[in-house]
Amino acid sequence: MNITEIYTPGTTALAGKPNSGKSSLFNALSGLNQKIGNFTGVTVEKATGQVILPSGKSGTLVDLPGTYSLFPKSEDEAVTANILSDCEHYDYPERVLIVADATALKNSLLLCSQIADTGIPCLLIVNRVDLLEKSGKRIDFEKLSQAIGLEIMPVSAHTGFGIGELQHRLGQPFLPAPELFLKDLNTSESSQYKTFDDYKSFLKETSKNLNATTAAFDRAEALMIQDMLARYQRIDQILESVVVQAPSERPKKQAADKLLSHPVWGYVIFMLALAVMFQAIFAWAEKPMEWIELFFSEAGQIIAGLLPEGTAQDLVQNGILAGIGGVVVFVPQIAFLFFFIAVLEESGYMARVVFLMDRIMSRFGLNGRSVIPLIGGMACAIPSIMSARGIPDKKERLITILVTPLMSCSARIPVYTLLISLVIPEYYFWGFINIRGLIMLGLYVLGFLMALLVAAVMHRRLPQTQPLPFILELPQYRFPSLKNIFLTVWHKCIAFIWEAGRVILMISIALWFLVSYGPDAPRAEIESKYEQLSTLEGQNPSELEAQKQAELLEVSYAGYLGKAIEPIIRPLGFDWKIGIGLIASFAAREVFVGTMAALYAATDQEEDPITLKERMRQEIFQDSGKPVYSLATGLALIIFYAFAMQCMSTLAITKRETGSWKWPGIMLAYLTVMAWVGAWVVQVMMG
Amino acid sequence: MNLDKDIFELWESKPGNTVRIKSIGSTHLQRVLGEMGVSIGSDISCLFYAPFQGPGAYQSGEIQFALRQEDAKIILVQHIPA
Repeated sequence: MNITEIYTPGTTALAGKPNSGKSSLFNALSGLNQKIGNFTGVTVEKATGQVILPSGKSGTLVDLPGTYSLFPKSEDEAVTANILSDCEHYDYPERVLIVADATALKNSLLLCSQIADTGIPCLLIVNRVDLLEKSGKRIDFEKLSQAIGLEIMPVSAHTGFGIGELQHRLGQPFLPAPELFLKDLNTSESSQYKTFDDYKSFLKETSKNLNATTAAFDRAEALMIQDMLARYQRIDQILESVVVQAPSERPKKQAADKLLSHPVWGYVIFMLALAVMFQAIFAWAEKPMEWIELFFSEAGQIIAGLLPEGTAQDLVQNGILAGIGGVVVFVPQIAFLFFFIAVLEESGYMARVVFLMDRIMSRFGLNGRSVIPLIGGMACAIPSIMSARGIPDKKERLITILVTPLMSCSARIPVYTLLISLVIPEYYFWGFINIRGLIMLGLYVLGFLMALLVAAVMHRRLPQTQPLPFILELPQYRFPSLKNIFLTVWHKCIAFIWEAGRVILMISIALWFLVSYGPDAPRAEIESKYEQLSTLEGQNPSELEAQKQAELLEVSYAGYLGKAIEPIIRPLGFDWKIGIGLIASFAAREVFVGTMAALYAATDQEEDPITLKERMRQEIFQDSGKPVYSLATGLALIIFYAFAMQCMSTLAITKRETGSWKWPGIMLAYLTVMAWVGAWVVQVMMG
Repeated sequence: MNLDKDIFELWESKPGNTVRIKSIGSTHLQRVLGEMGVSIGSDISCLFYAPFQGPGAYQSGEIQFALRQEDAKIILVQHIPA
């Protein structure tokens, strides 16, 4: 019996610098066997995977957040540093796979040397060896292994080279480095430690002081710099004898960069990339979204047929299934958005976009990396808020998340379409420019401008954090791995369904209750009235049913809430029926159209929007006799929907991304106030 | 860039020029650059600049990175002696 058969490994952590191909390696080793969660006590994403070992057993892999060193600058980096420097930590692994980039070996070896000096068993994986030849370098791995005291395995997660050997090697124990990396260098105060435990204590102490007083912070930073300089001094000595040839000048990359950062062509190419992304999110996702809606509608019918009529049937069909459907329907848009983001990131183009846009965005307190969430927000705020994770500065990321819902998302389209066609007459400028189209375009522009304005205000109002220097690594261009992209998209979608879905489902059930129930007496009266009416001759049963549902909605808890909020929304020109629409569409904006159809008793045969519009046009205020949907009220309602936070999924995902209900609460409050004030201004100016 | 000046800001260097870092004006920036192996004494090449006074792209050793104007202005550099 050999060691592979009897050895059962504990958790193996993957650590490496950003852009080292760590996540690609994680995907190559664990494939679909992954779980996304959070590290204990923080909101940093924790990806855990299972890798099948040669013995048939499975081993657990944990993908630690990427970092250049064990001296953290962000919450993500602190997770890696805290776990690896504390044996008592809940997530402390049994061993570490350190991932280094073969084309940027020097920068990878800093983290490698620090991890080795904590005394944990580790193995150095030199990734992207397929690119070595192109970069004009040759590495003597044996010599490197001797110099740093660690076993080394060259692999390419992109081509699969060495992955089989690595999986086999994972079935055996790793060894710790035999001695400290800095043993011979007593040139700095920080290298006075003599044992692995000393170095772990040093790491813990310096990281702790990062949150301490300024003097302690300054001292900690000085010690860190000394430590890094001493390490790089030794790394340079090692690489001199290990790397056989100097890197080439990479002329192709510079030519591509010249084009992609050009003051004109750089933006044109970026706009073209966005146009393709938009097309995918708007048009290509439409069909799958229809199929999902159809599936849940059919499933609802089938399940309704299996259950006895009553509360349970209604709850399953209109509460639970509608809630799950409301989550899953976003998956195609999320998948397309993350597919494009993954392609942009993997190819190295994303870093150039950030480079190009940073100056413009920074004027508004945002970051070059804010562009993707804001543009994606025009399709759907949910995946866009998730994509803000790439922004390292906490404040800039928070502002990006908070302003993304101001971008006009696809759920607003049905509401805008109904209201614009209701109050704006059909008119063409110069025979071909439709005024309704112009107003629709204006709403998109308005959303973007308001997002920039609010971002600028928040930048001034939110507490100033330690500003981080903007240092952006410009990785080499490379052809994206489709397998890796597929796995990234898959895990993002699963994370969305699981994390945001739970909250959305709960709110959906609560809304179902408010719309379906109300005080018994008036409901019984309506039921009895329509029972009698149905016995009369010449009645259209579907029209009767629609009228009954409209009256039941009026006496539901949602109906009472609509009437209760009428004094608040009346200055905007809205009546209680619009109030019900606003409450019901809190789940999702597009629900407004369906609620209006129900309230104005549009029957199945008459669901043609023209009928709904006609009925809405005929609606008058009972007290004044004036039409409810005047031009002023219609425009006020459009402005209300342009700003209001009418999307529980966005609130749920914001809670997930910020780790508390505080920021979704602030988002809800400021957007509601903006919506009310905006609608009121329109009503006052035009009413 | 003033060629008469012995020491100047990294921001003033032109694409294609390689200079040597003399000082880094903030400890935090020193630490962040230090992580990437860029420190006082390192040679750094200016590659290109983003439009509208946007960030500059630089290369030091194997790594290419971008720095905002305000950060590049507190890095003092000098020409590499022939």
